[in-house]
Amino acid sequence: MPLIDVTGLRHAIAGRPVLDIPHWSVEAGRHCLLLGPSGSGKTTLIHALAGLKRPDQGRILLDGQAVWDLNAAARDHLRGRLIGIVFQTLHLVAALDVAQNLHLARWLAGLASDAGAVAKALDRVGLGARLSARPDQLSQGEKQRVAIARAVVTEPKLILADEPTSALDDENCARVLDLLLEQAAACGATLLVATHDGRTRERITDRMELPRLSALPAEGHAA
Amino acid sequence: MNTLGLAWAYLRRSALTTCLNVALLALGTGTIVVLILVGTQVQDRLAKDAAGVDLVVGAKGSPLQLILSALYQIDIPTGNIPLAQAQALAADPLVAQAIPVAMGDSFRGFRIVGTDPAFVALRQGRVAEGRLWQAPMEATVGAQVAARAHLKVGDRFNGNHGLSAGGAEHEGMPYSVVGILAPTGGVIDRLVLTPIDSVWAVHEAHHHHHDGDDHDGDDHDGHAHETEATQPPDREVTSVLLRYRSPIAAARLPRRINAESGMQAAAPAVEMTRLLSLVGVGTDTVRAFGLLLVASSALSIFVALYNATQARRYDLAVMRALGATRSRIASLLLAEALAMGAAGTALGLALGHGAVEAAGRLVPQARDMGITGLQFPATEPYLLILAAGLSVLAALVPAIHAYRADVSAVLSRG
Repeated sequence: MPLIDVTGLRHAIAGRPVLDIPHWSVEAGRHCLLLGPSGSGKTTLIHALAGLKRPDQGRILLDGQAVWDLNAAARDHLRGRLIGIVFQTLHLVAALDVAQNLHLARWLAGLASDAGAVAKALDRVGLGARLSARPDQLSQGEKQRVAIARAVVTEPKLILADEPTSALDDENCARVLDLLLEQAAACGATLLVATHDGRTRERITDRMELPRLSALPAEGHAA
Repeated sequence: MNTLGLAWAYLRRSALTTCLNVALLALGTGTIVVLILVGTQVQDRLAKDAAGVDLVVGAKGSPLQLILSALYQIDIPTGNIPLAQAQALAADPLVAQAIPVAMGDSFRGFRIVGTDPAFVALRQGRVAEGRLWQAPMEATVGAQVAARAHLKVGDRFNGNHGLSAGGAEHEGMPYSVVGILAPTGGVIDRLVLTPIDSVWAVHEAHHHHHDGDDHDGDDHDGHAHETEATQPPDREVTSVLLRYRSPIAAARLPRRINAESGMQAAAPAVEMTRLLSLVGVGTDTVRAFGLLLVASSALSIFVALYNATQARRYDLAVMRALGATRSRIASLLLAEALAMGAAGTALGLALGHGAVEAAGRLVPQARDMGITGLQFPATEPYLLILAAGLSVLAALVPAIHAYRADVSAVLSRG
């Protein structure tokens, strides 16, 4: 059974079509690139998969469950238990220290508090000594690693990474991709990376190309 | 990690705003607590001092002044009434008990009151040391008088002319302390009690001594002996404290006294209600100010939380993306508001009780009235409910805002 199974997915923003996917699936444990230029609907697809953006049409099965047939709370629980997300802007909660950011992810996913799991996740990204550092005390690279650790600390089946390398130089791009692949392997998760960054093609071979269906949307719309 | 822990992290992150909101709420709550505590205790005290007295009869004048002077010993008497008329009242079939009171002198600011021993029972007094007075010029003193004036059984002292400190001393007519009363927390603690004969004796001697003097500098207002110089054989008392024999007396006796005699009858319950309604205007104003402070703090919490939801919209969206339900996000904001509300109310309660307790210990007038901050009126829990309700109200709009937020749109905007 595929981990992701999308059928007849269509979505438009302000009347402008951004997604049209007749069928697409990703097997559990495989890693996949979601490629396409700006405005091709990568973020919209990521949000639709995560149960954050309801598509106009189509069916999304995640680990066999129809995401958009669930009620809002059940969808939130499914997202927390099944998915780890790495945002383009990283966005750590500034009021919490590094360890607390990871504890927050576990708590929101409905998992028991586990200091060992948090320390292990931070160790794996090389930040075992920065448990009590505040986000504003971290470098950009360190923030990126904390964001990845936060995505995997719930041991998700699916890691969604939205443009994780777009603002990085080649060296850091390679480092982040390696880290994402390592972490996905460590927790046995499927990795789906949405990107327009061609540098990622060498490391992840499975790919889904999203064409731009129409002109670029107005600023601020998810596409 | 839990909702309260997360709320605390956010409150700590904006410590200054949090502290200001808590301080504002504490000031409002504290003001109301002080009003409740002092108001309750003063009213209890007034009721206690008026217990057992249905009617006060004295000279014509202000009825409130008569009540204040005869029952609470905090104003000058309206004048005197003939002893014969007071005795006639005591014999009236509508009257169950009549206790005469004669005043005019004081000792170190404490009033010397000539009366019957029944006065002590009426005030629920109890002899702690020695005994009650029996003969003229014997005195049984209240607990505060004994403590402040360092009086003990066997001591002698001279009274001073007038009801306030500083009057001319009545030399040659000393009182002997024969007993000290146990503290009651009532007005009796501040009185020097003696037979009425003592008051008459002192003033007859005083007038004899001053015969021909012009009495310059003497304040004779309300003195039991005021008319004695012109009518020495007619003894007078300042007032009579009456207890009705039956409820019907309440309808007949005051009207009859006020209409048919040269005396005035005043009901403590009526006059105190009038006084409290007059004082109530002031306390209502302060209470309204306290409520205004509490409402301001609720508004301030609302503004703080509303701004926080705007500033933290990406935080909240990320939490939703990490699996937080809408209700969990809303409960986070409610928890922040409730935490501020609880802290402000707790601090306000502590401040209010602390301030009243400090006043009760440090301010002589408050100490005399037995004011304490260690009393917890039954109305106080309503303050907690009010603060919690206002906090929830303040958080409601921001919580609904956060509840309805389009997570995808916020995350896309970054």
